[in-house]
Amino acid sequence: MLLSVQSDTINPRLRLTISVQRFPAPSETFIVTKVLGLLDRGFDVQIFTSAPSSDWGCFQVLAGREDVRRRIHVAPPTDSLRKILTIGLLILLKTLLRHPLEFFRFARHCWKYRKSHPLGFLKALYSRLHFVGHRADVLHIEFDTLALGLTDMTYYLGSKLLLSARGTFQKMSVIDRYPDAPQRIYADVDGYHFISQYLHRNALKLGLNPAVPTWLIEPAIDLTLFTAQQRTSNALGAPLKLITVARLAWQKGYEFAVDAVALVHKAGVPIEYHIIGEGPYREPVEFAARQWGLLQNGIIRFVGAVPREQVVKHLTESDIMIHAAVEEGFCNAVIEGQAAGLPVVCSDAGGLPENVEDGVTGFVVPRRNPEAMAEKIIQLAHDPELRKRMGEAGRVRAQNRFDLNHQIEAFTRLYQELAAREQ
Amino acid sequence: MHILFVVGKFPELTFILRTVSALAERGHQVTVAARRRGDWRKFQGELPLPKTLKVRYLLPDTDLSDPRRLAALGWGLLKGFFQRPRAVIELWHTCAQQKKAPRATLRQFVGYIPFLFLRADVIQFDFSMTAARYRMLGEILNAPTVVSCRGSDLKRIAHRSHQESQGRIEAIRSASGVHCVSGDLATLVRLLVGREENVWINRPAVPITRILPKTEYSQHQTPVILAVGGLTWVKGFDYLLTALAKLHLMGIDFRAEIAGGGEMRSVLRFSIEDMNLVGVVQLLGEISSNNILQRMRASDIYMVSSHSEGISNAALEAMASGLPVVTTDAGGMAEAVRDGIDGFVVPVRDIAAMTDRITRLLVDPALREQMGRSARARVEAEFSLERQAHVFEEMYASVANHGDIQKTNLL
Repeated sequence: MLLSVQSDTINPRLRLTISVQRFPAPSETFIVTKVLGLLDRGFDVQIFTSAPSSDWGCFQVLAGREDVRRRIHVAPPTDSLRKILTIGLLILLKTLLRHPLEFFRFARHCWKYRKSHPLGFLKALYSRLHFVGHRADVLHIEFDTLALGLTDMTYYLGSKLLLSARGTFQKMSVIDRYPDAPQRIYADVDGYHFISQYLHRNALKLGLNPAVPTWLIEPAIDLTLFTAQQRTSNALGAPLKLITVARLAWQKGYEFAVDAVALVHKAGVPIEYHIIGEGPYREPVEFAARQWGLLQNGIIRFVGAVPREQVVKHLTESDIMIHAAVEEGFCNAVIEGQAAGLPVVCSDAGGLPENVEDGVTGFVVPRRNPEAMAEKIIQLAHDPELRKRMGEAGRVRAQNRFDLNHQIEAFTRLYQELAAREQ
Repeated sequence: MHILFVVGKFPELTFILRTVSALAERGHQVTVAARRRGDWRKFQGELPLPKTLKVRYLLPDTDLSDPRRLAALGWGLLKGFFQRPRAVIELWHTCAQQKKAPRATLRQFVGYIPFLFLRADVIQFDFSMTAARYRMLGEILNAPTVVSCRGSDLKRIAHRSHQESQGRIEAIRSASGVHCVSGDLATLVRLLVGREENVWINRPAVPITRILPKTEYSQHQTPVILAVGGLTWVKGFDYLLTALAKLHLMGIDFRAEIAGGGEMRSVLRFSIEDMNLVGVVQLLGEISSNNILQRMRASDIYMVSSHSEGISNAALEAMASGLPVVTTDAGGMAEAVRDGIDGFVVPVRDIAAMTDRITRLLVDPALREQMGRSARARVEAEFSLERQAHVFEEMYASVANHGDIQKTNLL
């Protein structure tokens, strides 16, 4: 591969291919920000998505960016046979007419799939038609969950394969369903990006070759949302407001959080607990709240899923963030809690000990341990000075460490380093 | 007496199969009308069925466009018109009076047709859900109805849709009799439905003669803790695993087995790995009822960690097998296990208490034996199939004589 070496170390003409589920997606602001930042720095970024996005309206920064739209390539539809036979066939014809030679090169590349499945060849060809005619230096699959069936695209694109581990792939359920998935995607990878040391350790346990170069870039958030807002302090004697922002899923350990809140309530500390989020595990959590009698008297409130601006509002109205997860990659919501100036009491699951600085921006307690969590909540409840100090420390930590603008620099370096490596 | 048992799937729940068999063995004509067919191979141990027990499968509940269903419907209509023309017409009128959408009326009409050929002195529904579905059955067959409340259907009612929960509550309110498997549920029926008359507490039962109690309370081997149940959040296995992890950290020697399948399997596997319990806790998957009894005899402590429960049949089987039981106080469990006598009762979600009671039993084989024997004796005295069938007979006789059923001219 030819590397065009510029006067400085930056190679702005790097061709970068980013693969995501949807673009733009409201829950993945960091990817939008990163893409814009990379374009500003002169990278040639192409974005490949599995489905079209309907959320352009959510992003002011993308208004009028026709150049970004042109860089998005959506996979042919696979959700219904009718769509495949109409839209899909048209896309196939269009690709064939536009890039006839490339099309046959790609067909030859997919030919090996004929053995894995009766329709393997057609599937492999059809589902990845949007890649035809492209070349790249780096193929970055932003969520390693999406990597199955894409890893071999590097041979066609002539690129290196970079995967990001954000905690979705290593979850037991995914690996349970595809037990050989780690081996399959770890085999082809040229570089791996982890959002926490925990995920790195875990990947090594699952069989990632230690020789594969890895980068640790922690998640980052848009801090501008938080700087404008000032924390509204509660009236004296009002109940302390606890908050959790997370999907209602088993991994988030909500039952243990509810138990902890029940213990704090039993200890006579006036509190309220707001749960922001929706999900499949709502019934057990609601059942727990009702069983403790805390749903009926309004001490625990299920707010449901709310838009981002509202989340910030809820955070600024709260006093303590709690997060009792039993499995966690890093948790952006906990970063946001710190950015909003909340002390955080969280469990030691996954990457959370790297996220919260124990004793400084909050407390890290053993997971599945409601007593320990309750103890720390009570300690914070009785000490407004400590809450303020930890909240301030959290704000500073978020600014220094989890700023989205710093993250773009880190990724620029990562792509440069990976592209410059010998194959 | 002709007893008509209306159930969802049959055979599916062992305790229902045992109850109907026990009633048939006592000379009653029992007909089980089931909506779906279960897997008989899983229930070889319960066969052969008594001669007086008949099983009828209702028309499959699929779309009318299914040709098999249409054929069955045609046959049913034909048979109905020849045998009981007036009844079929009356049924249509009854359904039409409900003033539902034509499709719903038709569906209802079709649903009730198979019942026209069944005789009943009393109709028993397995769950409030079934009773809500066949709300007019009592009227159509001109027989008193009894609804069973078994725990799961009522305890989680707050999480169901308004229409569904109202349907269930209405079904319980309008039934001639209500059967509750625990005193705790009878209280719940009073709170939810506001009904007290003709509510019968008839606790579950196990076939004691077929369950051999443990004889050897060995003191040499690593003690085994057993839990049985579907792997769902209701069973609280996540809490159990947390308690077991504490024990393991304390250096106490034990093994644990969880039998059952379900949606939480991968989650529990994750928890076992996460808490370093690999090799200590084993997920057995779904195993047959005979196999479970064998496992019980080979175990030392039985564990119920449920957040919600009627009265666990598996726990009763464990008691009959001579195991001490550590259970949460969910639902009617405290009515089965006497705290400090047949085992221990701890508050729900109390991991510390769970850990403490299991430890007490783990370190004291003599206590295990004493509590295990007492548990067996309790089940023999209080939870036999004979006693259960006897209470059912009393209840059926009572509701049949009540005579407050609206008479219709259907029969």
